[in-house]
Amino acid sequence: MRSLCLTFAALATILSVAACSDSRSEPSGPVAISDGDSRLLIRDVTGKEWDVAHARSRYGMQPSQFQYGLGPQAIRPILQPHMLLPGEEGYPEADGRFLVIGVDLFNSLRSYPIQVMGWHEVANERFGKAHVAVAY
Amino acid sequence: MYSREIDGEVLTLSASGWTYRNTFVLYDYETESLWYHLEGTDGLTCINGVYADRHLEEFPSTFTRWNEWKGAHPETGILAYP
Repeated sequence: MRSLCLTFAALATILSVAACSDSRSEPSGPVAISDGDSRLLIRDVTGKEWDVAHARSRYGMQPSQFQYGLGPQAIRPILQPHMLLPGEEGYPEADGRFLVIGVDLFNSLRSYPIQVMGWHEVANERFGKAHVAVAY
Repeated sequence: MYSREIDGEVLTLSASGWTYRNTFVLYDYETESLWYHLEGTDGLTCINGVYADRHLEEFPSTFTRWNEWKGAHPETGILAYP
């Protein structure tokens, strides 16, 4: 399953977002701050602190290997995805060769162009009663 | 693609801005728990936060090209540019 990996397109997104913020976003890894209260905090470029104590103790994840730390506003998810159906304006010609994530779930057929997903990373979707996240 | 339902609640997932070993770390708006696709596992695992150690189920999806997907599924919808 190919998902959430830092592919070239996604990396390009991150780097372009990083270029728009400031030079601190180079992937040198954050400084971990222990606050003496069983928390282990890493701070992103926006100053927001994230506790990763459990990630380290339970899963062996090293604070120094969390990278970029662009802040939660940098890559905004799609909250209300709009599906174009065949015949609607903007629906692409059938011979386009661009990359998509195709989903066939609960009697719904949908597709998500990588070009869009690379900018947003996550689309918060609903298939019938099921709430799902399409992630790139 | 992952479920975003847990204990009857619906989560809104987003990139956290962090990556870990070249993989995006997600978080949810509702609790700011961190979610990560651990190598060798299916779905997302909550690595920190109120849902620590809980999982979000993975659903199948296909990484392909539009012409192939459309050819196999003529009625497919496609995400509009937001």
